[in-house]
Amino acid sequence: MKKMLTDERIIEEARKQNSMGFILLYYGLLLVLLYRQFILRQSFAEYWDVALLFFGITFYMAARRINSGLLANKLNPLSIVPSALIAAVVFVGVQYFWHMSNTLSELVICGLVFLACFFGLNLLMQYFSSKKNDDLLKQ
Amino acid sequence: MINRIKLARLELGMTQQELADAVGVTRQTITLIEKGDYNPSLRLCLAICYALNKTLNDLFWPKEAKV
Repeated sequence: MKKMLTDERIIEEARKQNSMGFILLYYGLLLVLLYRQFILRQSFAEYWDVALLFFGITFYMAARRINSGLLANKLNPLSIVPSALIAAVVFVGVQYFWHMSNTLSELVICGLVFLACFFGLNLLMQYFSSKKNDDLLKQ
Repeated sequence: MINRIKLARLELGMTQQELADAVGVTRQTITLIEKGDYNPSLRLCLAICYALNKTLNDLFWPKEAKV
């Protein structure tokens, strides 16, 4: 049987389709996780495999983005603030509705710790990404 | 992107399939490039130029844009 010819257009089109398939699968996994945790109220032991897959993929993508310098051209702490604030508010909201027994002071402390961790981690990621970009310019 | 591939190909009496075989792509790709629906890579642009015995300027730059 004659092998089908593949050229750059076919490869590019296949990559686009694979990319769209990945996006659907990735966000599908996220929805499955949220559904199992918040709707079905399953314990972590029941969905750890899906969680491991989702966070593993997320970690891999973050590592590749940082390593290729695509995450950030230069260090810009201010750009992290909006997403850090939104993430902290969502985190506090989930904490409140999930653990109704939380007091206000506990929620504030949880929120501040989360905000600091989120900000610090993103700053670190930006630092390594910008360092990679600087290294590329030196070459 | 405006290109003159079809004109150059017809000048040489080549069919789309012959050009496609010469540069190692499918006929569909040549059709899309001629219609301006697909932007080929520089490597493929050069391969087409060699196959049609033209330069990049001849095929891929409109006369109006020449400096």
